[in-house]
Amino acid sequence: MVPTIIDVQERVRLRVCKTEKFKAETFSMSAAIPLTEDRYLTTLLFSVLRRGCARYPTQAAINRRLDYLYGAEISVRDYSVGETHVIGLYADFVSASYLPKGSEEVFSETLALMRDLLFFPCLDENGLLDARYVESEKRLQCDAIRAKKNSPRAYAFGRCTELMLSDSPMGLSSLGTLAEVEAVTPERLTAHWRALLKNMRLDCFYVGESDGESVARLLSDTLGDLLLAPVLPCTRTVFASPRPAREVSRYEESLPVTQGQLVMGLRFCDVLGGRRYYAAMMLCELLGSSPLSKLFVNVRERLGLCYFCYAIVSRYAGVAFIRCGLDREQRDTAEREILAQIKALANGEITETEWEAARTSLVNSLRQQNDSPSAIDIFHFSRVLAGMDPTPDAEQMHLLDVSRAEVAALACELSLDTVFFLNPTRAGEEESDEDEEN
Amino acid sequence: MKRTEFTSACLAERYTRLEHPSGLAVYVFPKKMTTSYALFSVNYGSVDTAIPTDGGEISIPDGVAHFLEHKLFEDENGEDAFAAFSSYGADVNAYTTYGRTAYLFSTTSHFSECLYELLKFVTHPHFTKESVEREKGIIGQEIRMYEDHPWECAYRNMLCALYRTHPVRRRICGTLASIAEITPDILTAAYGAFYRLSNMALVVCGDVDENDVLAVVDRAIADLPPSPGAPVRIKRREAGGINKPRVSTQMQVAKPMFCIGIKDCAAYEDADAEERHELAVTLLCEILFSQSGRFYETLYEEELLTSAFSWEYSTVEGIAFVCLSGDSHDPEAVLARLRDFLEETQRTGIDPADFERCRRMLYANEILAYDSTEEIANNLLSCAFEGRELFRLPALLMEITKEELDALLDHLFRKENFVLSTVLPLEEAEEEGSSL
Repeated sequence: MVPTIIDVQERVRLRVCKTEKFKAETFSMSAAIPLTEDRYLTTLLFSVLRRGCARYPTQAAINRRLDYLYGAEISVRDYSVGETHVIGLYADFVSASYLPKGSEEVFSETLALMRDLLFFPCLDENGLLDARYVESEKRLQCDAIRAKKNSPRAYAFGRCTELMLSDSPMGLSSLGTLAEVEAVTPERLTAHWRALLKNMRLDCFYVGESDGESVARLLSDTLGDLLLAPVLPCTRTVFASPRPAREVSRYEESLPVTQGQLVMGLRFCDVLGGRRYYAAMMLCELLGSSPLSKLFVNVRERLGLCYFCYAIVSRYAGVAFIRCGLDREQRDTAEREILAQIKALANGEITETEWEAARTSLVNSLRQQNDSPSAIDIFHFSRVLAGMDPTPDAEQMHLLDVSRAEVAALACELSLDTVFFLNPTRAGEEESDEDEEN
Repeated sequence: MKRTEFTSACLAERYTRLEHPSGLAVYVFPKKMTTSYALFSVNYGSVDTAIPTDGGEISIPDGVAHFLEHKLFEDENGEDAFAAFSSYGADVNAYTTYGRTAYLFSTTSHFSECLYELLKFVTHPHFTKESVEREKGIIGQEIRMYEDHPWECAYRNMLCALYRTHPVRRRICGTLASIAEITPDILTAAYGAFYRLSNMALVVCGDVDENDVLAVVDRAIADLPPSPGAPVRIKRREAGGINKPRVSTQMQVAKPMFCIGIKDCAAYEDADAEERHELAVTLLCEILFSQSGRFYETLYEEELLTSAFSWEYSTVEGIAFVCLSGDSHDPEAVLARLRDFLEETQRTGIDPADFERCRRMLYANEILAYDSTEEIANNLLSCAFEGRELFRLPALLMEITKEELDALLDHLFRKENFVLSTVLPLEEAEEEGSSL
C-alpha cells in the first residue's frame, strides 16, 4: 500500500492510504524530533496531556466521549527511529460504513479531540499545565521506573542496552531516572510543551475509506491556524556515529528470581544503512529469529539449555543482541555455543534450507505488514526517516538481492562488546506443595 | 457432507461450517487479507486431569496436555515440524489453555501446503523416551520463566483461592515434579483418548477456497483409521463458595500487584441462556470496571489504581469468574472500595447513559474483530467448541436490557464469592551490582 502525500500546510504533511480493506480507520499525528537526554520529559508530557483537555478536563471524560464515538481510541505514540524520537497521538475508530445511519461523525470528532489533547490541555490560571496532573504522572512514571525489575527479561535487556550504548541517546531509558523525574516542575514541563509546539512539524498518516482531498480538508479545518507560524529547519539524525570495537565489558546483577537472563551485546564495524541493513535482516533471521535459526536449533533444541534464545539487530546503532533465559549453571556453555554459532555464520556455514527458510520468513513478515493499519503507518514513516525505500514491496526486492557472502562478511564484523548476566538468587518453589497449600 | 453457510449483511462477512465424514468439524471463513490463518484444535486442555474410561477415569500428571503440544512437533525421524513451515516462510505455533490445545500457522503464501503439514503432524504422533526426556529440560525452563512473572503468580493464586478442587487450580505447564512423571505411554494414552477427529475442529480464515481446504483435509487424513466417537470429557463442577478469601506471596516487584477474583456461580442447562448470560456479564463488567467508569476514575485520581488496571470475564469448562487486576499501594483498600461501589450501584441501578455508552463500545469491538484473520479464527474456534454461532453476537448485544443487568448485579457480586490475591514486594531486596 503506497500512501499519497499531501502537504496540507507548510508544517503539516499528510500521508493517505485509501482502502476499504479494514473495518477500522486509523489516524496518527506525530512529530519527529531529535532524541536527547530530555526524552523522559517528552514521555511525561504526553502522559500529562492524555489526562485531560479544556473541553474534557478528566481522563474519564475523554474516555467516555470516545466510548460514545463507538469505542474510538486515542493513545500516545512514542518510539524511536535510531537517534530520532517519534512522539504523538494515534487513533483508531470504526469506519462510518459499519455504524448505524445517523451516527455522529466519528472521524471528525476524534480528530478534534486529538487536536484538543495536543494544543488545548488543562492549564491553570497562570497558563501552566495542571499541577495535579503533573505531580500525579510524575509519581506514576517513578513507579514505572521502579517496576522495571518486575520483568527480569526486559530488565536485563534494558540494562545491557544502557551499558553498551551509554554514549548514545539510544541508550537512554524513555522513562528517565528517579532523580530526573522527581525534579520536574509544572513550569519546566509547560515550557517543554510550548517549545515542542513552536518547533514541530506534524506528520499525519491516515488509513481508511476517505480520499486524500477530503482528509486534507478536514485536517486543515481542524488545525486552523495552530501551526501556521514558520519554523526553522529541524536537524536530526537517525544513524549513530560508528563506535570502534573494544575490550569486552562484563556486568552482573542479582535478583531474587528463579531464571537467569543472559544478554550479549555485539558490535558491527559500522551502522547498518543501505544494503547492509538487508544483509543484517538475513543475518538476524539465520542466527536467531526463527525455529530453523542456529540459536534455536542448537542452543535450545540440541543442547536443551533454554526455553528462548534469539537475536535482534539495532541497525541504527550498528549493534546486535542475543537474549537467553537459562539456569545459572548453563551460562558459560550457552555463551560459548552462541559465539560458536556466530562463527559458523561468519564461515559461511549456511545450508540451502536455512537460507531459503530465512528469506521466505522475512518475505512473509513483510507481506503481513499490509494487514495492519498501524503497521503500515509505522513501517512507512520509520523508513522515510531513515532514508530507505518506504514500502514492504521495495524492501522485499532488496532482501532477495542479498547474497550469502554479504551475510557472512557481516557476521565476521561482529565483535563481543558487552555481556550482562542477571543472576537468579531464588530457588524454584516446590510447586506442588505450594498449590496444595493454596 | 453437511454444509451450513452463515452470513451477516451488516458485517459483510460469511463463513461455512462443514461436517467432514471423519467427524472433524471444518470452518472456512473467506477473508481478502494478505495473511491467511489456520487453527487445528482439540477440545482438551489442562483441566482434563484424567483419561475417561468405561469404568471411571485414570489420573494423569499435571501438564500432559501442554507436553503433548510440545511433542507433536517432532516426527518419527526426529525432525521438527517447524522445518516444513519454515520452507514456506510460514509462522507456526501452538498453545494450550485450560480447555483446549490449538496448533496454528499464519502465512502469506503456500496455504494448502502448510495446511497439509499442520494436519499431518498433529494427527501423526511419535514419542520416544529420549525425546520426552529432552523436552522435560525445555519445559522446565518454561516453567521457570513463568515463576518469575508476577502477574502469572497473582492470577494462578487467585484461581487457587477461588476454587477448592477444580483442576483450573493446576498449572497449565504442570510443575517440575509433575512433568518428571510423564512417560511416552502416558502421552500415548492421553493422545488416544482425546485427539479424535470428532473431538477436534479445523478453522481457516483468509484468502482461501473451501474446496481446496477440503481436498487437503481428505489427503492429509486419508491414512488414518476411522475415528472413534468424541470422548465423554469429565466435567468437574464445584459448589458455590470459595476456597479462601486471601492469598499472598512475595516476589521481586516494585509495588503490590493484585487479582480480585469473583466467582460466577450461575448455572445454565440451556446453551442459549448461557450465551446470553456471558454476554450480559461482559457488558455489565464493561460498565462497572472500564477505564471510562466512575470506579476507575475515582480510584485513579486518588492514586489507588494505575492504567495497568483491567478486567476479564472467563469461562472454563463448567466454571466462570470475573478477574480484576492491577497494581496498587493498597490492594485491600481497592477491594474495600470495590465492595462499596458495588453496593451503591446495586442500590441505584445502572446509569442508562453508561448502559448505552458501553453497549456502543462492545458493538464496535465486535465489528473491529473482523480486521484480523487471527482474531476471527480464534473467535470462531471458541464458537465451534461451544456450539455457538459467531454472527449472533451483535444482535444479541442489542437485545440485552438494562433491567437484565440490574438483576444480574444483585446475583453476581455476592460478598462470599470474592477473593483477593496479592503479590507483595520482598521485604529486603537481594540486589547487588558489579562490573567485572
